[in-house]
Amino acid sequence: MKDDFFSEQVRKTGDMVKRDVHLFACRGMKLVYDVNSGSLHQVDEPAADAIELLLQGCAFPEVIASLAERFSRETVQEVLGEIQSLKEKNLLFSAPLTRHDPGGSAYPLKALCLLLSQDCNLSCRYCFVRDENTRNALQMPLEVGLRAVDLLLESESGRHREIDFFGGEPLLNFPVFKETVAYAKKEAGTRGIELTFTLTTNALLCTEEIVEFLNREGISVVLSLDGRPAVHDAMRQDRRGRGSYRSALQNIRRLLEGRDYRNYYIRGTITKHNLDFSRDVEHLLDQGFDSLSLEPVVASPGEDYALEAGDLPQMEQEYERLLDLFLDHKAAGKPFLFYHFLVDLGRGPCLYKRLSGCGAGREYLAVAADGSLYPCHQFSGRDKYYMGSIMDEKPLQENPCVETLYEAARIQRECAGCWARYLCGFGCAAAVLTQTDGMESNDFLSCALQKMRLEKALYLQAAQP
Amino acid sequence: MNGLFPLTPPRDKYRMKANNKGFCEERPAALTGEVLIVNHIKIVKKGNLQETKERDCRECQTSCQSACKTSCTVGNQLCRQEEKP
Repeated sequence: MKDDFFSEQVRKTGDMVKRDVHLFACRGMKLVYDVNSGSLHQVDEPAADAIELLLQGCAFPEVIASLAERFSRETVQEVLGEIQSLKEKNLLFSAPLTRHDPGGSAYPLKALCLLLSQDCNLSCRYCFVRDENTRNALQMPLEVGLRAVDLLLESESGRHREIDFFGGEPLLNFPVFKETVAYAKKEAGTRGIELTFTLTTNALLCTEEIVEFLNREGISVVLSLDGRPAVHDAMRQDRRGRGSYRSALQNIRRLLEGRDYRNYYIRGTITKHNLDFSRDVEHLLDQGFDSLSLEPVVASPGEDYALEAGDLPQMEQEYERLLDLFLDHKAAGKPFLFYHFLVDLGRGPCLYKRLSGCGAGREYLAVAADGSLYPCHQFSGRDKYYMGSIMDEKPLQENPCVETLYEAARIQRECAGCWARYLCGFGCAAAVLTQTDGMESNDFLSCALQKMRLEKALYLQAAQP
Repeated sequence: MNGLFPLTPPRDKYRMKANNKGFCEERPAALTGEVLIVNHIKIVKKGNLQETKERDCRECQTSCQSACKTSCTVGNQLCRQEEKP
């Protein structure tokens, strides 16, 4: 067998390959994810051992010699032949992708997050706008909403644009929400632009009028509900400290019944206090919801509800339990969506998209209630990341700090060597900033969780018939 | 359909056969133009990343606009290239 699989240089620096091929096991299944093609393979023991040795820089003869005691020469040669064949087809050890991030100006604006109301009818313990500087009674005036729509539609982006209505609680400013949607639809229609709308809400203000409006206008909803009543009520309280579970559930059901349970996500939060979060998923499924997203909390390390590295083993067990739930429900003909288990390897986005990261400050901007522009909703009120005002003649100002979100050491160095780099979008910059007090390195916990979830998601690709 | 729900069931259907050597996969020639038979490595999913490196339509959903609003994920976004007129 010709041994020209890797060049001498690649063999000497095995790391060059390790970042491009990820060999892992999940529930006894051995899987190989080929980073540069996005292909996933299931391997048997001889193949797993051979790939491991190749990743260590072994040449073919060394692989055959190393595995001689455990497998026949014929078997190992057959394995190496298959590996070689897959390499030639660019499905394993595929060619490195060389395209680089083209920089901020290459990404025209295509999505806005409008902070319609910076006030909220709840006082959730983990809310990232608890800070007095960012949380106030400010409601977005209609003029700000309309100017924001103009900014988005005048962008030189493609056909699709998106507006997310966010807060605080955006429904506290329903009149402006309604008017802004009407204006945006009319203007987008005349320009031939496809515009989609999302509302992120706690649902407590969903009156009949609002429910009817949301369902009639086809507005997707992200509905905050953490799971079991005690879990939800411990964190999501009104200003008198009363839990909001019962009212939220009642309103969410009414809203979703009016849209045949389509175009929604139930969005919960995982904190130190619900590390057994698979029970929350079970609870939400029991309530009839089938489109779920549970997110680890973004919190400063000192908070009592902040997640810690020591929580990872239990969280891994919970994600494993979610795998059971997921597969059992599918087998029973009652499948559900779990946001972090969704990976489309065969039809996923292009390399450009994968390098564009979260889009904050480039394709995506947050508009605060007073018209101030920030890279994303989580940066709202942080002066360092101020990007101008929607009320100015030239709204967008250059702010070098924004580009540092992408140029930071974490992306240049740490992410470049990570197998998950084309799946995670380099993580959430705001979360990294919050949890590490700077952008010089990645947040270990977020990265560990992301990789843990991705391995489970890849396993599901192999485990599902 | 809007960008909030990125996935539809996979298009490819693989016919799997077990043999006494391990994995044996037959991909219908009509789909691939070839039949790839492997004994030790089963192709679970053929990724498309190599084919997309020059693509640049920019019609996809912005990642941060997803359901999570915190954990950015790009691997589950839907490519809208085929929708472009």
